[in-house]
This record gives sequence, structure tokens and C-alpha cells, in this order.
Amino acid sequence: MRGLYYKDMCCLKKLLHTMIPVCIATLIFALLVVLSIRYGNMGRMLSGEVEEAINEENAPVILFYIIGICLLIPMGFFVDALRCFEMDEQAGFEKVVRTLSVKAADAVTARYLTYLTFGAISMGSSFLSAAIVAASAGAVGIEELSMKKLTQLILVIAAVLLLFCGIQIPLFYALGKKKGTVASLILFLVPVGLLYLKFITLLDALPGMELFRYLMEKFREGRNIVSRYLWAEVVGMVLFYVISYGLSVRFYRKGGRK
Amino acid sequence: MGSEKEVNVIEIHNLNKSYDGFALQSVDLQVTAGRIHGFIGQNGAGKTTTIKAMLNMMPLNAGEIKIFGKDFQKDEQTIKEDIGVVFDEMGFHEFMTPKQIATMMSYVYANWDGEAFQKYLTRFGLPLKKPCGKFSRGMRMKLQIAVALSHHAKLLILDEPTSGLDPVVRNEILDIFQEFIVDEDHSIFLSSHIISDLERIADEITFIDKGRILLSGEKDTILEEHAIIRCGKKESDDINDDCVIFKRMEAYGCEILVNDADAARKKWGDALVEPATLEEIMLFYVARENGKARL
Repeated sequence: MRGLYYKDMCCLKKLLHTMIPVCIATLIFALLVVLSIRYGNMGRMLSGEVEEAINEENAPVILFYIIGICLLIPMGFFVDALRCFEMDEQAGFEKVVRTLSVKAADAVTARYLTYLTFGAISMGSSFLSAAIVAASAGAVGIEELSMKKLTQLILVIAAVLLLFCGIQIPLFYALGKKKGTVASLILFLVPVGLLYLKFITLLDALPGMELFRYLMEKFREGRNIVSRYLWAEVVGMVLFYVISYGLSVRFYRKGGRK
Repeated sequence: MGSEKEVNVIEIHNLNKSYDGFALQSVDLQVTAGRIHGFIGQNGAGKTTTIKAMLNMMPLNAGEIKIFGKDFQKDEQTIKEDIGVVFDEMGFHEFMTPKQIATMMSYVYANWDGEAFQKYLTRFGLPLKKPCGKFSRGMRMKLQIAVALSHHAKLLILDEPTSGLDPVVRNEILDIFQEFIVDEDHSIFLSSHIISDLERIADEITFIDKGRILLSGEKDTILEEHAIIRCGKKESDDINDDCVIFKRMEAYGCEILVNDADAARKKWGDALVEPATLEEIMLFYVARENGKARL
């Protein structure tokens, strides 16, 4: 298990060469946009003459960028974690691994640990980036930009991505990389598509700030539900991962990967 | 002097595996300890499928496989500790260096010998810190062999290790295999369609075609038993013994492969009966199977 995990970490190191510049570029872009919103324009910002407080008008845009950064960075890392499967397939390493003295459970455990490592790194960098952007925005204006709320937001995103990966890993072992990607994308895109349709409908029905307030209200409601049943959710996630892991080991043993 | 009982390192009985358009049919195979066993067949004959089955890399429809006398289903980890496998393609990530591969393998194999690996790298002229994606095909093959030999494997399973290599590197690699086999505990199962390689180093040979074993045994015995009778078309009509494997009509006459060279020589004389090479034997057996298929 340790050997395969080490190999995945070598993959991670390789992938970070492209991921780190992308993260930095995303952060710089978000910072520039947020600062220019806060200071009115870039010239003022650079001279540091006028400091405008965050207000109800610019807060949604700033929040949009912060949520965006919280989503984009973890998604990038998770895509990279999935690329580990692809890299193994391209190199023909899957064939090699089955000739090694490695138990099926160990091979699968290494893969889950890789995902968790990628996840932890992505959540850390995403939190750091979001905090930098929020701090530069003078994030006291609205409640949603506080560190506590950001942490909650990151955790919710992490939970969603973990759910997605928990579904995708056994699918990869069962169907292979290509079919597994298609199947998991369908599973992912159906709820996202439904949410998008709902959003489009709301966009037509509610003008700018009303839509923002509505979404914030929904976000608060959602957060309240999440906090109310936190233990049940944690237990549910653990159970979900136990089942996902068990299925992965079973599919791996069957040699389902093509 | 009492003869020592020969031990089989690989025993396959009644192996059956079928998938889209291909089937391994009742494959029986034994590999004797301390020998190099050549596994010959055309591309798509079932060599790689048999190897994958041996290594428990795919579910079987039927059959029993034992390696070192142990059941793969029960003792997979123990068995794999003592096996080194080399495929025709490298299988390691191209960005990985031999050093990283060695670190990975040191976590995988309890018997990993870092010093031995370093010695093999030096001997094969492989750099420690260069990504293996920058290696030539020959270097990649040598890297795989270095990895396979550095955990003190007792059995090497090699799937087309010399295909696509130039004669010099091929020769070098065959020498390494011969050195490995000097230790009586060591055995090699070598699949190839390059028959000259097997003719040079194999002690035992198995022919496979379309998922069926056509012939299996000691290489020298196979070569002694088989012979080719070269004669005219008219004379060939009189040669219809049980020992005839296949008659091949040529523009200038006829070639007949027999599997009892001594009997053939007694009947038709040394002038007509010539020794057969492994390649000729394989071609005749395959032609016979194709002839049967056409019938």
C-alpha cells in the first residue's frame, strides 16, 4: 500500500507543477477583481488614497468571486486526483500493479488515501486563497465573508466532492476509466443541471439583489440543516465511504478494470 | 545414481477462459524448476492471456493454477513475492526515475534489495535519476529486468521481453536470463514469437495456437523427434504414416513434418529426412490446425 501511495505522491508532485501556477493565477485574478470593486478602480487602489467600504451593492460580486475560488481550486485538485487513474492507465501501470505483491485492499486503500491527500491539500489552499481574497475585500461588511462562514462553505464543498469521489472510484474499478468517467459525469451533471435550471427560473423571476438575498436565505437554511444533523451526516459519510471502499475492493478483485 | 524427482514451479490444469472472439481451451502446462520454458505462438495465440491467468490478473471460466505448488487464490501474496514479471511494454510512469521506482518497490517487496538494484543499473548502464520516459526501448526492458531481479525472485515470467529490440540488446538480455538460471532454484517462463531466441536458451517448449496447446515438452526431445521429409509430389502420396503431422505442397515438391524422426529415417532413408527447426515445427503445426479449421 505504501509503495502505491508513494507512486501516487510522485504523480501529485508532477501534477502540482501545473496546478500551483493555475491556483496562483486564479488567486491573483480574484484579488484584482475584488480590490478594484472595493476601491472603485485600479488607479485608486494603487494610490491607496480612497478606501471605500464594502456595501450591499458590491458585496454579492465579491462573494461570488470568493465562492468561485472556493469551488474552482478544489475541483482542479480533484480532477488531478482523477488524473492519477488516467496516468496509471496510460503508462500501463495497472497491469504492473497486478503482478506485484500487493493485496487488493492495499491497492484500493492507497487510491483512497491519495484522494484524501489531494482533497486535504485542495481544501487547505482553497481556504487560504478565499481568506486572502475575503481579507482584501475588508470582509466585515457581510456575514457570509467571515472566517467561520468560509470554513463552513469549504467543508460543504469538500463533502460534496468527497461524495462524488466516493461514487467515482468504485465506478472506475468496475467500468474502467472511460466508461467510469461517463457514468460518474452523468451522476454529477444531473443534480447540477437541475440546480442550474432552478437558478435560471429564479433569475427571470427575481431582480438582482432580491435573487442574492433569496440565495443567501437558502444558503442559511441549508447551513442550519447541515449544522442540526451534523453527527448524522458525519456518520452517513463514513458509512458511505465504507460501502464505496468495499465495492472498490470487490471490483478490483474481479479485475473489472479494462 | 538415483534420479532426482523434478519439481514443477508452474502447473496449469484444464485452464479455460473465453471472451469476445477468443478462448483458451483446456490448457495444460507444466514448467519444471530450474529450467527455461519457452512459450511460443503467433500474435493473438493466447500467450498473454495465459500469462495473465497465471498471475491471477483475470477471472477464469475453469481450471486450476498452482505456482510453487501453491494455489494462487489462497497464497497470492506469498507467490508474488517470489515472482518477477516483465512485459513487452514498461508499465512504469514515464516521469518516474529508477530511483523513485526503487523506493516504490522497496515498500512493495519484503525482499527488495536496493544494493542489487543499484548493481544491475550500473551493469546495464542505466542512470539512477533520469526519467524512464527518456529511455530507449532496450533500456526500458533492462529497467524492468533489473526490477524483476532485485527482489530475489525465484521465477521470472516474461511476456515478449525481446520483441522490438535490436539483435545486440536481445543477445545481452538473453545472456542475463541464462545467468539467472544458473541458480538451480531459479526458473523462467518466457513467452515469445521470436523462435530463434527460444531455440537458443529454452530447455522446454510449449506451442500454443488459437488458445490450444499444440505441443509441449523438452526442446531437445521435440527437435529429435520431429523431422522434415522433402520429396516429390508423387512420392509424398506413399507417405501416410501416423507420424505425419502435415504435408505442405510446394512448387518444387513436397515437405512433410513427422513426429517420429527415427521411424521416418528407417523407412525413407537419411537422404530424404532432415532435422526440423522449431520454427518449421511451429509452422507445420499451425498449418495443420488451419487445414483442420478449413475442413
